[in-house]
Formats: sequence, structure tokens, C-alpha cells
Amino acid sequence: MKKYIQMTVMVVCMMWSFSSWALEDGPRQVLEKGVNDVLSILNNPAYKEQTNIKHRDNLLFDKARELFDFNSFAMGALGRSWQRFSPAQQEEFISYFSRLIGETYFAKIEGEALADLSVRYVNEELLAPTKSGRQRADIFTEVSHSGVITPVDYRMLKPPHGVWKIYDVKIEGVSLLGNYREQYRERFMDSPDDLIREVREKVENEK
Amino acid sequence: MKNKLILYVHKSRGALVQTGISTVVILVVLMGIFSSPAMAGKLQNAAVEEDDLFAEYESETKKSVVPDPLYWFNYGMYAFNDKLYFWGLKPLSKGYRAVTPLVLRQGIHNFFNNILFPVRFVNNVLQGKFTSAGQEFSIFMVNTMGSLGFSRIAQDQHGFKDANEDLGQTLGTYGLGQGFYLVLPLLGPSSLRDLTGSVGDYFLSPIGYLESTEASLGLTALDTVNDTSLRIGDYEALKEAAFDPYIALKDAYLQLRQNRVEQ
Repeated sequence: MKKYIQMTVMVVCMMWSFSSWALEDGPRQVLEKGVNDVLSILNNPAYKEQTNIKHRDNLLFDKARELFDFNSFAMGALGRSWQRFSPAQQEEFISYFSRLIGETYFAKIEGEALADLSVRYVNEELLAPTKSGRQRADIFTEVSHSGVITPVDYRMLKPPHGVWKIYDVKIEGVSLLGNYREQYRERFMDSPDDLIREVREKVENEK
Repeated sequence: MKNKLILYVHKSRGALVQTGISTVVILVVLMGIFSSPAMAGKLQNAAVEEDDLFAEYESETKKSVVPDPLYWFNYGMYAFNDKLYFWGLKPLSKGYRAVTPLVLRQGIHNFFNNILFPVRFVNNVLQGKFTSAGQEFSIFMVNTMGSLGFSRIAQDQHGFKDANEDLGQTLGTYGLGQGFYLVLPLLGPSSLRDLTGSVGDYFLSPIGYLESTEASLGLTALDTVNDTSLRIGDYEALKEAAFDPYIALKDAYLQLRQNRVEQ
């Protein structure tokens, strides 16, 4: 009897996981949909006027939050310092850090012609899942913009019950996460509050 | 005290990873060190996540760490180049951009890129990449005869692939490391190896063989201003989003070069 119950539970669990697995989008589908959404916001003529820029940037930022795992990104960027942050400090850091990234790069998008921007999905590679059960994948793309082709690779992760999100972007092989991690490597003596204040001031200066 | 402990944990972690002992062992050791269960739990979670997602970003596991023994010189050159960009190159390039249509600027960019064909060809051969050398040869012939190099017909219409190789990369594929990091006045980030490579490549660049120095300087200046006009804002964004622009630039350069060598 015990064995029967155990078996039933196992089979049901397996079916459950298979069905959800079959329904869920793979990393490439998630990325492709996200990129298309971002491009359609950028190419929407209604948002091109100065008065609507703020609204557009808010839409873009919401989209970025949906697509991008700022949590893991901030954790990787801080490296060894992350463990010294209290949960509240971590949250504060993440909120300013994501705004800094968002605002710097959205500011650059403004005024640029994006009509001829196109993305080609070159390849995808599933990486070994992590010890805590998260799946990981690399998606390789080529972005072509005014005649210049730039390789852009996305590293994505999916927690056991979550969705695929990006946690690192490599542009021409240069990892954004790795770049911040390198900058924070020397800062392990600075207090979390100092590091938070620095990001906050940077965000506020950009206004 | 807390800092010291964390440092110790990190040191022991780095060393253990290097000797290849599994994370499980480290966690058991960690739990032994921190008798308080809450503390152990917190650190354990953080350590698992760290190792999980970011192991390949740790410098201990990176293939090469490039030293920066000339830091003060390099920092000075970085500051000099930064001022030069904001006070000279950027305003100049903005003015140039205002009076030169995009199509022409792209054409000029393609033209300068096209005449550097000997550098790419020779270095593909030196790396034994004969197929890529052949592609570069075809690209050069098609683009030169079709448009004097102003357009990219070969890549856009005939599907040829660029194979951008230089002597610095060639030396890298022979197993030579970067040596150390260098920032050059006007030219920006480099390294002992890449500077050596650039000197060698200079002899393959047609611009270096022009009779008059003025002409070759003038063309180099045009190339620089034209190139800058195509990516005004990139450097600013990198700088604004960085906490330490010097390290951000250095790391981006070294990652880029490492990636190129591996290709």
C-alpha cells in the first residue's frame, strides 16, 4: 500500500511537471517576445514626441523589470560584498541600481533612429542547471543597426517555479555583469551604506 | 570581526575551488565554522547562489588576470584622453556630423576599413585561418571593384563574413598573454602585447606608406573624427553607468580582446 501511494504521488508529480514544462515558453521564446515588445514601444510613433517620452520610458522600464532579473544581476555585480548587505540594504541597492542601468541606457536610445534595427537569433545553448535547481541558458543573437552587426548574447536563468529572465548581457563578448563585478572587486572594505549612497547619487545626478 | 570572517571564507573558498573540491565540502566546513545556525544558514544560501550563478565570473577561474603595474601612468593617460574627448574630439565630431550625411560617414568608415585589408589577410594566414583569409580577399576584391570600398556589397549581398584579425590577436593565439595593461595617449586602452601587435600591423597599413606625412596624419584624423561621429554617446553612457570608469574601461577592453582571441 505504501508503495502504491508513493508511486501514485510520483506519477502525478511527473505528469504535473511535464504538463507545465510543455506549456511554458523556452528561454528563446521569452527573449524574442520581450525584444519584440521593446522594439514596438520604441517604434511606436505616438511615443516619439517629447511630451510622451516619460510615459514611454516608464513602459520600457516595466518591460525591463519583467525581462531582466535585476536581483541576480545586482548580486553578481556586488560579488563578495553582497553577503554583507542586510535584506533591506539589498533591496535598496537593487532599486537604485536598476534605475541607474535603465536611465543611462534609455537616455542613449532617445533620439536614435531605430527603424532599421533588426535582431537575428543565431543559436541557443542550455547550460548545466545549478545546484539549487535553476535552469540556465545562453541565447546568441546578432543585432544589426545602420549597417553594423554586433553580437549580443543573453544569459538567462529560470528558478524551479519561475519564468526565464535575463541576468547578464554580453555585447561583443563583454559581459555587463562581469564589468560591474570587476569594478566592485576593490570595494569590499566600503560599507553597504556607502555603496548604496554612491548609486543613489549617480541616479539623482542623471535627472 | 565580521569582515575578517567573510574574507577568510572567501579566501578558503577560492583556494578550494581551485583545487577542485566540491562546494558541498565547503558548505560543511562553513557550517562548522559558524556554530550559530542562523548565521550558517544565511551564509550558506548566499554562498550556494554565488557559486551557482557566478562561479565563472570569479577571477580565480578566469583564464588570465592582466596586471596593471603602470597604474599611475595609465590613470594619467586615461584622464588625458577623457579631457581630449570631451574638449576636442567630441565637439569636432559633432560639428562634422552636422554637415556630413550619415550615408557618407558610413561610406568613409567602410573605406578606411577596406584599405586595412592587408592587416586582416596576413593575420588570418598567420593564424592558419585560410578560409577566413580567402573570405577577406573576396570581400576586398568585390568591395574595391564595386565601390572603391565605400560600400559593403560583399557582406550585405553576397553573404561573406568579416574576419577581423590583427597581430595582437595572432600573438594571443600563439599563447602569448597580454603582458600588462597600458593606456596610450590618443589611442586609448592597449596592452604590451597589443601595442607590439599594432606596431607590426602599422607596416601593413597603406596609410603608413603615403609619401607625405601631412596626408597620412590628415587621413588618420579624418578616420578618427568620422568613427567618433558614428558613436557619440557610447563612451558617455559607459562612463555614466560606471562606478569606476577607469576599471570599467579596462575590463571592457580586456574582455573584448580575450573574446577576439578565442574566436
